Amino acid sequence: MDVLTIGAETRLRDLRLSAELAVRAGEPLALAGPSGAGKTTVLRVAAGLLRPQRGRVSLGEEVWLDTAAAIEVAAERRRCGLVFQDYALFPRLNVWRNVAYGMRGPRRTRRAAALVLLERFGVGHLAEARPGAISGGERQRVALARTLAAQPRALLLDEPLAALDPASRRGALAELRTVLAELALPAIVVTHSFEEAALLAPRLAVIDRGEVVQTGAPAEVSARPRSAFVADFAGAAVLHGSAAGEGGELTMVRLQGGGEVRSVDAARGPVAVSVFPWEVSLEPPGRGGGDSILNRVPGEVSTVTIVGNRARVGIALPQPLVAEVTAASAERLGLRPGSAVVAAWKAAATRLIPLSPRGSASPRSP
Amino acid sequence: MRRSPFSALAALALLATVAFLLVPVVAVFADVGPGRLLEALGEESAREALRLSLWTTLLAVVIVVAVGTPAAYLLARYEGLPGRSLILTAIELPLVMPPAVAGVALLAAFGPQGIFGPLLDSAGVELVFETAGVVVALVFVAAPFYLSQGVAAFAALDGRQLEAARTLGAGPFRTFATVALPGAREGLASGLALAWGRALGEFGATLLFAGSLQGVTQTTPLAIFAEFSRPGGFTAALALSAVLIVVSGALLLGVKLLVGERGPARGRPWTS
Repeated sequence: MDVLTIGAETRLRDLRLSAELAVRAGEPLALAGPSGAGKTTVLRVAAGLLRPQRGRVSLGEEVWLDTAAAIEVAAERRRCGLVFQDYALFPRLNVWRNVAYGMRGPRRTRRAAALVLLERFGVGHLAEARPGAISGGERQRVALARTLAAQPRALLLDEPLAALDPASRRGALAELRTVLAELALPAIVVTHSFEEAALLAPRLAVIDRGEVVQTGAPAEVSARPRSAFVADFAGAAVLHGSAAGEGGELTMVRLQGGGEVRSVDAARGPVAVSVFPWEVSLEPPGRGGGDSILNRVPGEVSTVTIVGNRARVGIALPQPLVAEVTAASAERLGLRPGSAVVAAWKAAATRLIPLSPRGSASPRSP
Repeated sequence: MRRSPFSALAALALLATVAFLLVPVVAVFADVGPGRLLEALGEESAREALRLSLWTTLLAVVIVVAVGTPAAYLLARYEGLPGRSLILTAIELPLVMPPAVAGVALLAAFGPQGIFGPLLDSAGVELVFETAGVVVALVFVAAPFYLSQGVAAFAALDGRQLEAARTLGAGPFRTFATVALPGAREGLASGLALAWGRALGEFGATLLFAGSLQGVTQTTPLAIFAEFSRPGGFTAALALSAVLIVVSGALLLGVKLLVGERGPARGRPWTS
């Protein structure tokens, strides 16, 4: 089975991209991170559209790029499929000609093969349409069909769902997940959403400011974020504090701005405390105790956002914390901005991420 | 409905512009009359000048398009090209150069006493007082119009489409021919129309560089001037002018209809 390896070091606007990735066939990787982190640049290096200052890209035994050995295979010879964020369909060609662009052979066989692919993605009826006349979701499928039609040996997808409206995104997500799972190719899908990454691929690499900060299964990454950035990106709230060892198994953390929490993780010195919103329960002040919940921090409700039957409640501890409770509970507790409330969560649900003394929140090595 | 004073002024300005630009054109036809027009066309010297104009300009724009299209593409798409901004400025220089200066400059370069004069002479190439010289002058003055339009058209292309073609296995030439050219089509067509129009009207550079020999280098604008300079030749000059207006108008319209206007229409979503 082929492995696609990408190593690149290059200047990227105001930061440096320094990334190493390895992707096995049949085990798609989601490359996730905020905008401007360098995700697209990694794909462009892999596809041969950008030459990094230093780097090495290979697929199996074949070296596509090795700046040290002055090897560079042109993009058109790599057969590295890339689905662009806005799909980059050819506007002057109709849908089937777009799909047939990367195929070889006489027109009739190319047309037939393009139609088969389009049918597979449920857009066979659009074969004669122009890209400008079809919907975003249809364009995404055509772009995927066009890329696969060229029989790529690796598949890269740049934010394949970003151009879609929320309604079509849900369907496209499930579809893409199936396609990725069935492919026997090394595949990388770039996304800025942790949720999307977790749903699309069994492996996740989080990239921030040009560096891959953590790699692993999505659940693993969100359960054990190795930096405050990753924790925040994975959806957890991040509080800053200072850990002091405590007798027994627990670590006591004094939060900046007030409050104390305990964690089962060991740490000393400045730490980021991460806790997922769904782990936090809310109580009226003056109650509590007598259960297994060790962390109780009083605060003031700053925002209440109802999302369906859930409420995301922002609390100032004074550091910001997010709790996710049922809308019914929020109603029962009478939560509104300004209400006094006690946020409670278990020490076992409290992750500690050691910060360097300078306070920068990113231990470097993966 | 209340109109603002500015809208009224703008409308007036438009009216004045259109009137001023069209009145001389209309006057040419009003003065000549259809009978005299046909009569002028019957004269051998007029037909000769027109024939010469048509095929020298055709040859010139063919050269300009053949060489200028890939050159414009390179200039527009390869930002790492050394001296790119300098070249961009240099190719636009002939746009603002007075035609007489262009003629003198061409003589200095390719004339018998010019820098390349001896070289051309030893190769047996004669340009001055030769039809080939007319073509050289036309290419010189017309190329910048095509190039600047072409550079703008290629620069406006969506780079991701070009990149998509390459990841789909298309080499640089196929990418150019199948994605860049169709995408830049309207811009190139308008550049072609401008260049052809400029070539048809070329006077000063041709006169100075190639001379005004009837049947050899006397293109229609030069023939118009020759008639005009002849006592009592104003009517003949008018007739030739009318013909040139019709021919150049038809050419420009033809280019737009053939190459330009059909392009975007086919690309528009609502027509597919």
